[in-house]
Amino acid sequence: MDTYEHFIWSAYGATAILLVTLLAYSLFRFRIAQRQLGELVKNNQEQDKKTFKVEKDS
Amino acid sequence: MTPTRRRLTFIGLGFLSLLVASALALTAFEDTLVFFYSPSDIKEKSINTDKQIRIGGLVKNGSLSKSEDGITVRFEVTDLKHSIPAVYRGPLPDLFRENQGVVAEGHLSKGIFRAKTILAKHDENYMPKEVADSLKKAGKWKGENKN
Amino acid sequence: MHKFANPAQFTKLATRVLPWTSSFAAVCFLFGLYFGIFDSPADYQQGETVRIMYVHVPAAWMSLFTYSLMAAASASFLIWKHSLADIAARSLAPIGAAFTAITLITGALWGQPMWGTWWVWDARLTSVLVLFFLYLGYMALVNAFDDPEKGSKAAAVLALIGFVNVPIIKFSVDWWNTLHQPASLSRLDAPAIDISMLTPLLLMALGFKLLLISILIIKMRTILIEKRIEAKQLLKSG
Repeated sequence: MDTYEHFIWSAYGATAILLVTLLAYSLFRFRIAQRQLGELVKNNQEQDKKTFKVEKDS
Repeated sequence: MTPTRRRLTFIGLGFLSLLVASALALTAFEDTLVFFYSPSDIKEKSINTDKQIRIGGLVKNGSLSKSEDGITVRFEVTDLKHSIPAVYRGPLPDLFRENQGVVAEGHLSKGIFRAKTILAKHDENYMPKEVADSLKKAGKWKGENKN
Repeated sequence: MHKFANPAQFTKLATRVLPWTSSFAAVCFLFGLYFGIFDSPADYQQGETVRIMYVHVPAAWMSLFTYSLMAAASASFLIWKHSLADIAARSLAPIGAAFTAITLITGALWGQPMWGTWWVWDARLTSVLVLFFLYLGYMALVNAFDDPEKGSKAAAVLALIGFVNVPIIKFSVDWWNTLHQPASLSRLDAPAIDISMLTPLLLMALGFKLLLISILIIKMRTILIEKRIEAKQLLKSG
């Protein structure tokens, strides 16, 4: 039965590759979205501060 | 009726009619959806045996024999009611053995099925060898009373 | 139901659940692989090749389960207009497609040594291939429109129509002659799978299910964040 070993390893290998790719890609997209949101929030806060300062100065 | 209720009924009814339609279609095409015919189908139904067909069943116990050239095998495909003798030349799949499922593709001529390809059909039982052996010993084996 | 449909509530719950589902998935895979590859017997007929079953069968179960979830989410999106249901269906499609691809690949790798062929056009194999294309069709359709709402609706209708295929796959082996063997587990008489082989099978199945939940949570949270980004950008430019 040893002749069939490569069929077994191919099956497990293909499964692992597909699942790990799916998981890694999902995490990657999640990280990117989170970072984008973080930057957007920071920018908004800075802008708010600036407008606040301008209002105070005037 | 609120919009939600209306959508619910609409989708429900749509889905129901879809189910009925597919059930009807599948029943109508039943004969083309089967992958193989059993020996009883061949004997009892009027199946066009001029063209290439697939027959399936068990390899009858004690019917398997190899010719002198070493690559031609003769066996009988049985569904325990009828059986059809078959000949085949070529490499056999690993699970091909007596009392195991088989699907043969080829054509019928003069009552003998000349197979071009042989596929082994596996059953739904999974067990280690020791368990199979002890089941056989205890006389509880699935094929025991059939042959 | 309505509490669950609230994105903020969902994010709170999902964030709390995710570490559990992902770590339990890892544990299940670890033990499932150990039993499946090293500590389970060879089959009396198939020999060592039976080990392919431990990934093939759970993947096949999950491909049907994922599609059923996707159809349910699509229905509740169409009926109650819950945007969270739409987000769930959108997230489920690629996961289900991956499970179906695994089913097809591992099935071919089992079929070649055991049946003597990689592929046959019998009712079971063909209907699973149709399932794969339904997932791909959903993924294509959902992004095919400029208006995302339109895409969601069209894809949801496709998901519901395609749900007819699920019982066909399940019962194809009973309704028609197929090369594929019938189900082993739903049989009520004598156990068709020995306990030593059932253990890795069920462990892997649990691992697949927990992995599905984990990836689903990650994907849904991603879409929710992307929607917030969009809303903020719209606010800024407007």
